[in-house]
Amino acid sequence: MPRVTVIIAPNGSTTFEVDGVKGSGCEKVTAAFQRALGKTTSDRKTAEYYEEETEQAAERRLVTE
Amino acid sequence: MSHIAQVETEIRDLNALVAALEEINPAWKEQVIVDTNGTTLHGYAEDRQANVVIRTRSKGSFGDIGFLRTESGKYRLIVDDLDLQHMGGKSWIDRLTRTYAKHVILDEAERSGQEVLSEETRADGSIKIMIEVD
Repeated sequence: MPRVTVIIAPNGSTTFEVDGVKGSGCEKVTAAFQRALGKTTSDRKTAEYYEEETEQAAERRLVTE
Repeated sequence: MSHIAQVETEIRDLNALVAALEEINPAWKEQVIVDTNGTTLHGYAEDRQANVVIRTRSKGSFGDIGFLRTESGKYRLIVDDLDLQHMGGKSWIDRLTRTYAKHVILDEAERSGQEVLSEETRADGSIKIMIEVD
């Protein structure tokens, strides 16, 4: 099961870290929380995201070959 | 880890705002007046309209404390400068904002049926919440 770690800083600004979701699905996991809370000022993907994208691309290549 | 998002908290949710006010000042429980059409806030110098009011003026403060919903949907704090200073100034606003953020997140988790695994306030005042999502 994917997990979200939410850190609310002393001034109230909040960071969401998603763990255990590969690929573009991980953005959906926190989208509702982000919308409810305020304005998203930065949103960056980390290594695991690209890892899965690369695997998918590799699979697609195998299928077409 | 697959993505990290940063959100600037905006006070827009009335229920979470009232819950945060009551949490940071338990004496205000059942004393937070909410009126989406606007109600009178008794300030130090003049009366104003507000959507959320706590009648602190009758309890030794210079004026009532309240919030006005602006056109953008954000709630703006209305408070006498000296009353705010007495409450702690910016550190009070920060505390309200992070307590509000906590309530928004816990409410959203409940609404969407996600399980909150843990919630912890750390020494620096920051709050850590772990949520398991589908």
